[in-house]
Amino acid sequence: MKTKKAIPDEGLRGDRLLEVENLRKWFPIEKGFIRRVVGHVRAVDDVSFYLNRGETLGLVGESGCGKTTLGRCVLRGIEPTEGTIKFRFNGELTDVTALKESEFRPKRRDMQMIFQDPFSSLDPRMSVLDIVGEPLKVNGVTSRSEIEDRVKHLMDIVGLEVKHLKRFPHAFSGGQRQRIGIARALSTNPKLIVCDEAVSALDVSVQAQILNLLQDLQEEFDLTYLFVAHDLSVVEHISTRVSVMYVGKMVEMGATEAMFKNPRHPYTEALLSAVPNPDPGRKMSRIVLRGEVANPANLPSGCPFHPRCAYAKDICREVVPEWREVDPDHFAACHFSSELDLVGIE
Amino acid sequence: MATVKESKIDEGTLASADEKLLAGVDESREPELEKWFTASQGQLIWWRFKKHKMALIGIAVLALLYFVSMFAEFFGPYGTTQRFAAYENAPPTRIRFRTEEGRFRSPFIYGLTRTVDRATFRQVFTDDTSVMYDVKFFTRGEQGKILWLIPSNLKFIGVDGDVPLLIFGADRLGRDLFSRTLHGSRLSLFIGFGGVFLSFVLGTLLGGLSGYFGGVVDDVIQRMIDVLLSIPTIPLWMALAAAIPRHWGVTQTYFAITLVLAVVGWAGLARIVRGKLLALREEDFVLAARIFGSRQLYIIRRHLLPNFMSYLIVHITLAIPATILGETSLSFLGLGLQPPAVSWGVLLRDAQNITAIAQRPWQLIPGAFVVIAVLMFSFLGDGLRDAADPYKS
Repeated sequence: MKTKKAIPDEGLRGDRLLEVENLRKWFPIEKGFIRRVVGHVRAVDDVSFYLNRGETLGLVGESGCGKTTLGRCVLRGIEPTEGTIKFRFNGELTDVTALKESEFRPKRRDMQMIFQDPFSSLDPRMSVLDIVGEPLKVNGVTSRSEIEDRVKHLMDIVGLEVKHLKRFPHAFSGGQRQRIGIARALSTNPKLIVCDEAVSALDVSVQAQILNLLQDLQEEFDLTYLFVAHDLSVVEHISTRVSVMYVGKMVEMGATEAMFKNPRHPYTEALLSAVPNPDPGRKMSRIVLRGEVANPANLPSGCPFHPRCAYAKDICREVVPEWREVDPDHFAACHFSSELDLVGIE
Repeated sequence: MATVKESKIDEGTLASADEKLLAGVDESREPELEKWFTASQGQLIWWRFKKHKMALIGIAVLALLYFVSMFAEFFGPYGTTQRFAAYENAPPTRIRFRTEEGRFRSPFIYGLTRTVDRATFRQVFTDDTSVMYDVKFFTRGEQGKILWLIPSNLKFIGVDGDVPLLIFGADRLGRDLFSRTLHGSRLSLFIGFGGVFLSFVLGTLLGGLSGYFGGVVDDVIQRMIDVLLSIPTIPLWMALAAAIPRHWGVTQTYFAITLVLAVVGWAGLARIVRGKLLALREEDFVLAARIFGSRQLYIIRRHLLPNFMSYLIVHITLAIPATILGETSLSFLGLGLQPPAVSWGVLLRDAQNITAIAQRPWQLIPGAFVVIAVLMFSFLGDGLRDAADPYKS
């Protein structure tokens, strides 16, 4: 069953930077010497969403739900199996998936990424100057002094000391390394940055610093973020809108406040109930999900969430719920979105 | 951690450097730390390597061995084919500093007279103490070509007179074993490089293809390696070596043997290259390079190759002694280099029977050289391996 198009006409939303439609990434499971394909891991399955210029879309979900894969597919760091990714280059929405790698390569500078692991994301053999300057070099800046000036400027922007220009990654702490990664992502003046769990590997105090830096940069450079994370409080802090994924599918997407207050999918409700509340007087009613996360190589029939859903009815076991707009700009994939009265957080 | 007590930077642990960084180290040690922070990976490896005493010994001894082998014409008093009649199977000459009367004097040797023991038919060499021959340094001897180029008859050591100076004794044809060992080390030591270079090319190429393309290519190459590694080495070498035509000259045989050794040697290297490539390909910095628009070839050259080079160098260092042993075994069995070529393996053929070992143990000396060379390479490889990953303590 094909999902309904979630995206209205372009004329209505001139501020669109990115439109993703029916994106799929299926990893084949191969067996034996001749590598017969015996099945697929549906890491990302039929996902549609959009990003407006200057906003932050938080992408949350449990480990293994496909959020990182989705982030990488959007930048074609991994080639998607199916679907379209439209990105606004020079004012025009262009389907990125239709481009050949050689055609896409010069356009890549507009879409950058910040990685989760501040250790493996920096080449240990290169100095800060080389790491941050490399995207410039690759994209045709040849003058050494020009690269050096730009790198110094970027280091200043992200809060690194310019005198550490010649240092190697091993000389920096995790938070500082993450700043180097951010400087690298900024070096090509991108419009979109995919932050792939950009603060998950950091201490809480450092997390806050990096989050504030990301927000400052967003304002200064008119950046749009796709913010992949699993920490709801972080996502709430930084996102304009939030979308929730469950085994490769998006189950809900909406404005942060509206969604946190009034979730439209039982899975979102369960996630929200797990957010720790700092007020000791408040009564907690935590929803503990039964069972295991569904296997993306062997999805249950109907709604993939039904085996763990407290509200599941017969229809949930048989029919895959549609991805539909429940309220204006609030999408959900649940048969009973409109009927259920789900509890959020204030 | 507010105070840092160590007086010297611990180069081994990143963690402590990190702590110092976060703790804000006192100003006086700033330049020292900065040197450590701006050190490239190559420098870190070198600093770590320097701390490995055994590896330094290894590299020093190997440097000496290779140096001497290159200048064998200078260090060896005689040529490889120069024979001394009446000195067949003679024992090592004793260099003396005391005369019969007990006076000390500059080094000298006696000539030997050969007699046959009537009861056992064994040769007996006795010192002829009538004439003392002076041992001289930087003397003149047989004409040779140093480094195949410079004609010279200058010798490091020699004897004034017509008796031979046999430092390691003589072989069954009365040739000086010391000179022959030095000359032989040239073939034996450099076959290591030749063989390993070929394995390196084959291993990197096939391992690279395997890791890069993956899929069926990977499967085929890996199964090939499985088969190759499952064949016992010596019979395989023997089969391959037996295919070398007997009438080939020394140079041709040399290269053929190199090839034989490489055919077996590349498999292990290919495995390493493949594994390393697979691991590196998944690193985030490689994905980052792709995302900001780098071409595949650029990524391989700029990120992948430099990152597994150190592992390759370590593997190669440990592979050279295997090749040296391979050549020695083949030549010992008579399937490798053939006389008149001289290598350690060829020399050891003289020590193939029990009589030789029992009565003329000095003919085993080339074997000691093999042991030393192989050991030193192992020490060196150990040091390199420990240093190759400077971020692990």
